[in-house]
Amino acid sequence: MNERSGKRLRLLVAGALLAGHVANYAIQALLGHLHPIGFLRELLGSGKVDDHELFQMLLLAANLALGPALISGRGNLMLGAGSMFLILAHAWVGVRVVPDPLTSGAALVVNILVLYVGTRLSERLPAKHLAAFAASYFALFFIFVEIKWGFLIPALKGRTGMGNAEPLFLLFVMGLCACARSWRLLAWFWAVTVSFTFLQPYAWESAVVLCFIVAALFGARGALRSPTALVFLGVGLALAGLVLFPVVAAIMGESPQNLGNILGDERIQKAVGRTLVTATASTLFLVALAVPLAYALARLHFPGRSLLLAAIDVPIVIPQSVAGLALVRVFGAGQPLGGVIENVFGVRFDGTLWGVCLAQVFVAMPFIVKAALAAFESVPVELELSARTLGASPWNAFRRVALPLASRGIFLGAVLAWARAAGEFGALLFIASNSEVETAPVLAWNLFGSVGSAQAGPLVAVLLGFSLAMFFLLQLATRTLPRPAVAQNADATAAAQRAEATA
Amino acid sequence: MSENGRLSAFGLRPSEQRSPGSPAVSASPRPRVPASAPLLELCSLELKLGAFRLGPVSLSLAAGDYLVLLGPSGCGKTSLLKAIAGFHPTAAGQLFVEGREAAGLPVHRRGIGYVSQAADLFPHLDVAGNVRFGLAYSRLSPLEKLERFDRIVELVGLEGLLDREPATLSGGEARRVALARALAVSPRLLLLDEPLGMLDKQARPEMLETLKRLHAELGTATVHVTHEREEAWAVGARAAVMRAGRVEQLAPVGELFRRPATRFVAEFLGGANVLAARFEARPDGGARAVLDWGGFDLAGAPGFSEGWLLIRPEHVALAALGEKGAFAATVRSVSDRGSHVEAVFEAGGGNILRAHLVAQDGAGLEAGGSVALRLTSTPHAIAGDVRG
Repeated sequence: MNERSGKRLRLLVAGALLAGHVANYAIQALLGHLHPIGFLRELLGSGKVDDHELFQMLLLAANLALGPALISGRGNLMLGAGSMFLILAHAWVGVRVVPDPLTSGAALVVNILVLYVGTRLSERLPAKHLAAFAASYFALFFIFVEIKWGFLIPALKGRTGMGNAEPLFLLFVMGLCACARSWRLLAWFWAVTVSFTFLQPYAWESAVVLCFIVAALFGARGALRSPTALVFLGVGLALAGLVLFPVVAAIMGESPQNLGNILGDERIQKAVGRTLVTATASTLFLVALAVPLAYALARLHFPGRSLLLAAIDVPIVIPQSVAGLALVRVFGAGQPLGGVIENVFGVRFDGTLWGVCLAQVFVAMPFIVKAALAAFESVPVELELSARTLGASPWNAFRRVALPLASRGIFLGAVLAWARAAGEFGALLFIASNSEVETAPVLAWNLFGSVGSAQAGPLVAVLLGFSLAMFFLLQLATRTLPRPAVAQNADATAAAQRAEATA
Repeated sequence: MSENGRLSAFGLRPSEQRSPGSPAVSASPRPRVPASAPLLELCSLELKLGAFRLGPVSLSLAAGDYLVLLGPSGCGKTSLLKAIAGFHPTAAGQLFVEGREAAGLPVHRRGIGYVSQAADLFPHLDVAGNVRFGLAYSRLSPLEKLERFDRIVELVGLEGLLDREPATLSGGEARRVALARALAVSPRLLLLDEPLGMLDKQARPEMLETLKRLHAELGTATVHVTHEREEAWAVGARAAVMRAGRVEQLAPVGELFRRPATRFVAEFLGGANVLAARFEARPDGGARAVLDWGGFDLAGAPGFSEGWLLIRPEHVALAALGEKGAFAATVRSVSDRGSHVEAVFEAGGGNILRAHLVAQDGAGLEAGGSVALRLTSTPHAIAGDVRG
């Protein structure tokens, strides 16, 4: 059959269908079986129509679904025959299973759509796509049956949160049809579907996390995009999801009104402001001391260097409460060192912002020192020597070469240290937790203790959102700093030195 | 081609051809040092680098000189360069720059430019920023700094590269930027560590041209470290051959080639036959080298009785049997190189003699055949322990 005669045939069939339908409709109306407008009114009003009227409606729906497919030349015999079968099946069987006529009609339209998408998939894409589409459809149908009757999984029965299972099923099937063409869309579809059927009442939170995982898996690029690596990525993302889920849940679990109220609370405003100020001050203090320390550690080798390196990690490995106790024992009021500092400088740590900063500096120190050390170690010493031969003093070589090249690493370390300082809680409980100096994390604890999690919840959401926003902003800012030194330079020099030394 | 023709073809500058001891006449437009004081002088300098001991090394370099430090990998030439720049402390001996002791001076006060093998450009600055880096520490006025910058950029040919990031440069371009950066601050002395190392074959001649042009224009005294003897020929300067932390011989390249002082120098410069020999004085005041399979007259008395005889392959030619000075040999192998024929002969006692014959002489040779050979030039005697 050539293209032109095929088109003519299609038009003929479509025209015949339409003409037959219009004729049937007219005859039924003339015989008084059907009032064209009264029928619509009945349908929209009470939803009660008799079988005869329902059959007419199904025919109309089939025509609307089939006509465009035939005229556009994208239908085929299977689609036509399948549609006819579906129409009959719905008219005589489906109507009795799903008594609601509107739903039944919609089900017919959707099923014809499924048939149409299936034929299109089989024409254009490998059989795998059709198989996945069919499997997805039957899986959806199974879920629908379980939600409606709960034969196999009683726990699923009635679990939609939308009253009726049918509309939800049809909605999902239409989504499946729209997503069937691409593996990525199909994966997203299932991420959403699984979230909304199995993971209630955390549907939105889990949908966000699962969609993120799907995006990561399908967007994965790399020299080794092997199945093994992808499976590892999936497994690893499950871990990331575990961390992300509570965070997203805490943020999405609060209504905007609640958040607004929380932001208007003076106690909370003060606590958040205090957190920002103390964390920033602690970070600035840390940077001023950690950068010289890291540079010296990177450039000098001295007895006790490895001991010092190990000592820097101590605040990470000891429990926060121990850190807090240790700080109180040394810097607290009435303690020898704390007393001396109070007498000489007039600075008291117990229950003051000084104490807050002290605890923050203590716990955040390893982050900035380690990051700055790694950054300085990545700057080849040859670059500084080059600067020296050009007339730069050691200080200028540091200032104009080592520091700019390490700045990105230092900045990232400072961001981490800032986040750590802003989030510090355990040590603060011991040295400064009264309401005059409470920071936001301490306030969350105090609220939880006095009024319970319902009051603390919105604050947690605000804090989380705020910290995350700050963190991502700073990460973004990092990109403007110079990249670390080109590694190949260092490699070449090291290789040359090795050759020189071995020969 | 004669040796002299070869030298001039490789661009030996007139200043290199002066006899030793005559005052240095620099082509530099701005000589910075009085000709009497050497610019750089190493007096028995020794270094200690872990287990490796280098030296004692004694060298001197006049203003405008170009010295090639030649030696196999690991002989300590880069370490010596770094010691001069001030990266390594010296263990003993003296290091004078412009007549002043420099061993205690910090790197940035030495006024010595250094271009490493890896170029070591500052990756956070563009090309212009790299070249301008050292000008911040010079005493020039802002206007002079601008002029200096423009002059160097033009000389090195960086006009099109000024706003490029170092990571985007080719190896040759990066090396030229490093050179410009070092020269921008008008160093008293320029140290180049393998300036052609890690460059591809196309970039090498271009870099050599740049080096020669910059030296001709600026006259900056330069020490150029390399393990490639061709580089020494190409820049046509004086060269010091180093071996295991010591200088074996320091002489113009042509002299190193024709009159090596040690067997190591002869073999490092390559290609020559080095044969064990005894040397006997002749009654007429001349001398004669005696080998297992023949004897050759020498130009003068060598002053030692045992050592090595250097016979250059291009000085071996076919002879008629019975010709004076002719000796018999067997052909081992023959290979046609177009411009000449490379032949390997076996003279008496299993001694191998490589020869470069003119094409028409070599054409008739066949492996296994017997021939008579003669030397077209007096061989060179080298002192040394032949039993070692």
